[in-house]
Amino acid sequence: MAMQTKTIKAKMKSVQNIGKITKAMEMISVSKMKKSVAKRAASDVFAQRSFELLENLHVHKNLTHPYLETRKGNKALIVIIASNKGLCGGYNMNVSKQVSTFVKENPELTIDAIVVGKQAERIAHRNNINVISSFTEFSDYYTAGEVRSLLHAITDTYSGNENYQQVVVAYTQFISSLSFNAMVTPLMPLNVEETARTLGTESSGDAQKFALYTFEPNEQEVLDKVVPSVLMTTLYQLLLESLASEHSSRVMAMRNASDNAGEMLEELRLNYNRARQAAITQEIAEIVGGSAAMN
Amino acid sequence: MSAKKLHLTITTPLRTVYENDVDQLTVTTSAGELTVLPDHVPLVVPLMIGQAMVKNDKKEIYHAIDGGILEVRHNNEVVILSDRSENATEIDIERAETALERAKESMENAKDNVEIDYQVLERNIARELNRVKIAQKGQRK
Repeated sequence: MAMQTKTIKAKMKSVQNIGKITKAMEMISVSKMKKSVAKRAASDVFAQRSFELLENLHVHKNLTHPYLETRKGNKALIVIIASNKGLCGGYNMNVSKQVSTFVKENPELTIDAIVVGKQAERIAHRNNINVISSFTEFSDYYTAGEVRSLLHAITDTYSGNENYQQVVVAYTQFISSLSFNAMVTPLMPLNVEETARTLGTESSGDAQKFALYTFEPNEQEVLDKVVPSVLMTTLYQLLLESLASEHSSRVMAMRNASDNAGEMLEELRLNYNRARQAAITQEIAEIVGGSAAMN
Repeated sequence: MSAKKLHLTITTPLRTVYENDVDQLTVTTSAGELTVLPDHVPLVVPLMIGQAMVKNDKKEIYHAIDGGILEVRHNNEVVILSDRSENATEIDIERAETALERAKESMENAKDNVEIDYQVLERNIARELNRVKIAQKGQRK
């Protein structure tokens, strides 16, 4: 009997420790999520301004750029953004489902992938997608250089092969800390309405606003600079939204784990008390039995 | 003092680097240096790797600009959209110098290699050189 109380005690200790770890992970993820959301918000000014320029030059002045034109072809490039680490609930699974759906819905396309995150690599393998390049060493909140190297990988692939009809991104849209939504969104060719939706920018809708502007040396050259900038912020925001979703998904998973650890601890405590009581009762019974036999 | 000021914002895809009311701004465009004073005509112009010098109450503040776009709006609002920008005081000179050395070294190493994209290497050198120069300006203050 003494043996049983001991094993229960050991079990309680380990459950308690797990609870402490999950609690700590939850708190770390809360702060990381807040930071990702703040970083995303910090890039809004740039997104809004560069988008306005793009809209003005492309929609109102009818200028174009190779990245803006639709293409014919039988290939598609998918950029999969998922996490490096696990323990974040259904986050990676949801991205994976979206990728599978995309593959199923486009049987006529040969799909290649560029992946961000170790889990994304697995998603690509699971769906039998050929991985062109893989970025798994990115730092916590993505530096400008890292985003740029990813963007270069994408644009080089896209402009290097005429057969790429489009580039899409599988990411997780961050709605609030409780709700996020994995989805596949087009990145290239750049579509003004789609971009506005992804960036959350508002279309100025005012053609007159830019009418008085002087463009130097000419409008086309400005557009050539604006297009990569817009792509860059779009990509950065998609990455950060995915990051925020990953962390808040982890917060939820860890909160559940902590709650479960608490419940389990309660149950174990009850069992422990019962076992201890049983041991005492038995001991008394033994003593009483023993003294009765002596008499 | 003249009441009119420019409202300047220097922003990158990652964050807004600088936002303030200033007296004047000098930048390097593809066609040469350009100084913007209040009531400037609305203008959009691409920027080269170079500096943005901001003058405010006789004080000069330098920023390293790694290319981008300058937008001047009619209501004295000025925005610099740059791929990368830093305030002169934020640049760590030693690190910038090592980065410059590294860029030069990879250019040396690339001499016998035909495959390498010289433009990229040259751009790297120009960018790091620019940062070192501007960091030194920031330190003199």
